[in-house]
Amino acid sequence: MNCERFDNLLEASLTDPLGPVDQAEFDAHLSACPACVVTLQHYVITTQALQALGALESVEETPALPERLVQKILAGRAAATQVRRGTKTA
Amino acid sequence: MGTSLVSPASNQRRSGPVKSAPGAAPAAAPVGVRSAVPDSETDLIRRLQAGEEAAFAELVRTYGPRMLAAARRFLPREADAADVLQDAFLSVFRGVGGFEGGSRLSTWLHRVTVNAALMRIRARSRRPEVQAEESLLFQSTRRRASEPPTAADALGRGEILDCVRSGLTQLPEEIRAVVRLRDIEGMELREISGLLGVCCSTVKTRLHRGRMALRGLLEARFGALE
Repeated sequence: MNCERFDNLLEASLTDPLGPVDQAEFDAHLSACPACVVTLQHYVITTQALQALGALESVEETPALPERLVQKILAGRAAATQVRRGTKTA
Repeated sequence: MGTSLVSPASNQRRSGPVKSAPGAAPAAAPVGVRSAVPDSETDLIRRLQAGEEAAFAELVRTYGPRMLAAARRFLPREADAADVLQDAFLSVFRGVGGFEGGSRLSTWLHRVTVNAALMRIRARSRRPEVQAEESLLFQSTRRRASEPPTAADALGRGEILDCVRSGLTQLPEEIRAVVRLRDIEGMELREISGLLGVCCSTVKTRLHRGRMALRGLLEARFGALE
C-alpha cells in the first residue's frame, strides 16, 4: 500500500470504522512508513487543536460593534417592518 | 474491527447543532442546555416580543459583537462578515416573536449567525482567485509533507492554536466551513451535508482536505509536534 492509499483510508475512516481488511492494510502501512506515522499523529493533534480553538473562541472578548453598523442593522429592521406594514395595508 | 482514528468532537461547544436550513430562522424553541436564564435575558426577550424599539438596539449592541466574531470565523473578510451579521439580525427580528426560550438567547443567536454565513457560502460561486488560493495552500502543504520534520522544542499550546486559527482563514471558504462545523461546532457530517446542500462524501472530502492542510501548516511551522 502506498501513502496515497493510506490517505484515502484515513479519509474513509471519518464516517465509518475501517473494515478488517482495510484496517489491516492501514496498520501494516503504519508499521512500515514512519512518514505516515507522523502524518497521523499530526492529524490527530490538528483535530485536537481545532477543538481547543473552539473552546477558546467561546470565551474570547469581542469589541463593540461600530456604531454605523449598529445603525445599519436597526435601519434594516425599520425598513423590513415598513415593508410588512405596507403589504398588510395594500 | 476498525476503530475511529480521530474521535469525533464529543464536546460540542454550542448546546445543540445548527439544524435549520440556511435562510430560515431556526425553530422558535430549539433544544439546548438546561441552565438558569438570567432575569436580564428573560426581560430582554419579553421586551423584544413586545416590540420595544430600545430592546432591539440593546440586542444588537449586546449580542452583535459575538455574532460578528462568529460570522468572521466563516467569512474573514470584514464586508462579508458585516453582511452576514445584517442577514442574521433580519432573521432574528423576524423570528424573535416565536422564541420560546428552549435554549439560551445567545445559543439561538449563534445558530442564526452560522446559518446566515452558510447561506452566503452556498450562494457564492467559486471565483478564480479562490481556486488559486486553494492550489497554493495545498501545493505548499504537499511539498512540506514530503520533507522529514525536524525536531522542535516543546511548544506552548497558544502557538499551535494561533497557527490553526491563522490557517483556517487561509482555507477556501467551503472547506473552512466544514472544518469549523465539524471540529469546532461539533456537528455530525450528515447535518453539515444538509446545511451546505452537498452530499456526505463531499463533506468528508472537504473535512479531510482541510484537516490535512492545517496539519501541513503546523508541521511546516513547528516541525515534529510532541
